[in-house]
Amino acid sequence: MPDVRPDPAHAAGAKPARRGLAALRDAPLTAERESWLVAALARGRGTPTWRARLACEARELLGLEHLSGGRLVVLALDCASELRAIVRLHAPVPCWPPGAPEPVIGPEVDLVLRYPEAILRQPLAGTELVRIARPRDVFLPNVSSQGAFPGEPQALCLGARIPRGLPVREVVLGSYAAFTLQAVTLDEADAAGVLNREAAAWWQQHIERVPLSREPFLPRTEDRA
Amino acid sequence: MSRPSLQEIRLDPASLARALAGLDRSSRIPDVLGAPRASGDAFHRLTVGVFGAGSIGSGIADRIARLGVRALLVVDPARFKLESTITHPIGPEAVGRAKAPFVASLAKAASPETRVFAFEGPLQQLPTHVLAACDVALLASDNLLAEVDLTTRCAELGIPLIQGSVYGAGLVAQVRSLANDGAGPCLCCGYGPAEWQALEADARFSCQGEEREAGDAGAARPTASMAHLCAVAADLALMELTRRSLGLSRPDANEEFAYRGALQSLTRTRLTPRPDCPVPHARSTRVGWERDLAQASVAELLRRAGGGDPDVTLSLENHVWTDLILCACDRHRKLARFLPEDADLGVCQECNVTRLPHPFGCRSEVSLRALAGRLDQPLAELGAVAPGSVFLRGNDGTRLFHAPLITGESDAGRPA
Repeated sequence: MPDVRPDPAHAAGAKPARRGLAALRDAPLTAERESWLVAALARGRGTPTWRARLACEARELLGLEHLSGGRLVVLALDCASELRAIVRLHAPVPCWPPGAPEPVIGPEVDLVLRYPEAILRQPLAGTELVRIARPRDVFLPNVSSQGAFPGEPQALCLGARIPRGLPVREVVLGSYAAFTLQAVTLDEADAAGVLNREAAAWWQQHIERVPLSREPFLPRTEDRA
Repeated sequence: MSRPSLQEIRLDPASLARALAGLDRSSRIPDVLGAPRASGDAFHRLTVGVFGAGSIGSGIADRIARLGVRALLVVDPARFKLESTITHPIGPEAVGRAKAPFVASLAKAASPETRVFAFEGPLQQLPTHVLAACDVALLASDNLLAEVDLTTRCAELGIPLIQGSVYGAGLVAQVRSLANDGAGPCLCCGYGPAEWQALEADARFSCQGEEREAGDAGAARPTASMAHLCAVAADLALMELTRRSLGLSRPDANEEFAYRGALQSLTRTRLTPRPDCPVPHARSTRVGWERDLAQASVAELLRRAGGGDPDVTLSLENHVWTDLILCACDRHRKLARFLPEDADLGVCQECNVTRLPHPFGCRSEVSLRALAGRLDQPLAELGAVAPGSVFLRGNDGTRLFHAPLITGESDAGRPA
């Protein structure tokens, strides 16, 4: 199994040597997270190349959780054949529940991330990596409406394509940007398209509310550390 | 968006009778000098897949049919354009028609006794059991995403792959022939930065209006070539098929043949695997399963696989193993069974919200441990609905059990 332990010089409790996302590789994990990671990777299958990649990506996801200052919480992690995780993202999340007069902004969203082995060799569709487990009725141009994909919960689209080899950290950061409307496609005529035209039209008419937050994903204190 | 389906091309009985009357293919197809196998027998046993029915693939399909192969599959999602008449062997009457059934129909007319199938859809959506039935795959597509998908699947299934392509401006026709025996290269082993870059550039997955694209959304670049150069590529590919089928080349050979029209020369290069290739090269064992796979139990498949490996995982084509159900009342109820993709789970009686498979609680494969106590149940009792194929993956390799492509009598009376 690949060695996924952090550099001993930056063991748990030690201050990261780098700042911001550059510190991700050396981000310390708690003993609980470390053992969680080791257990998840022990069940990993596939080629040695893929298992090594799984180890790196899973570790970075947990490292990102550490650096995020509570914005990201990893609730479940599975590395059996692909990386799958439930993550809670603390971000303003617009939902339009049935009967409500206008969208309601919620405080958090539970996402299911899926990182398949095929990403090593080919670009993927923008809707393949992120599903929304909770809440329902998320109302964003880049989120499918409820029931649009039969048999699946709402999907978040991260763009016209997911580039080959895109790391998990970019999936998380892209998701945060989408929910806060820091990155959004409102133009129905955009070549990438929009997933929910009704939401695109609504947010075009309420452009003054965009973005829902200007906070960066990583806390500013991290940059000053 | 509905899934594309496989269609068998049939002739009406009167046309068939006329076509078959007095036709003796062996009178014109000779046994080849030095070949260990007789031509008629070798071709008559072959099931061939042609992937891409354009400038090169349409020529391949036509000439393969004339060999009298057992079965021919033609796959292409596209339709003929007016420009197609420049490089394809078609007339203007074909413009606007779907390529796969059109080319398959021509092949059927050329060889009425061949079972001919057309799949008008992206290669990525071709069911595994259909591909698994092919003895050899001939690739003639400009779509790099389709190319990556086919080379990955052929490498896993151990299906020899022959690719025909052209570089029009250089007057080059090229054929790559891969054994896919688990030790050799795949097409991606030969990719350089330009190919990987083109793969990224070609891929477009529009989500316009929530119509999910098929995944082949990669924009194929139209062939810029001359009809006769495409014909050279098609015939070089067919010559390679002939060599492999008649035993004139080593079964484990991996080679590239490049015809340079400007010099009237042919070069031959041995292809080697690249250690850091992103495509897994481990080959699975294919096992044809004549009965309904839904009635087979996991224990029965394990016995047939002949292994006692406890780390085996099981996956069913077009199904997901679903552990948990997601609804709005946040009580994620356990399900623990296979569900067909797009299954309708109805509405939760407590929260009155549509129940869905929890995306974290469903996976494409399930371990034997999760099936403990249920190994003797037929797959149907585990939720399977007409699975075309079943993968068993273990430490000692992968077995694929697949339904046959050809079932029943054909219109020409050739049995399965």
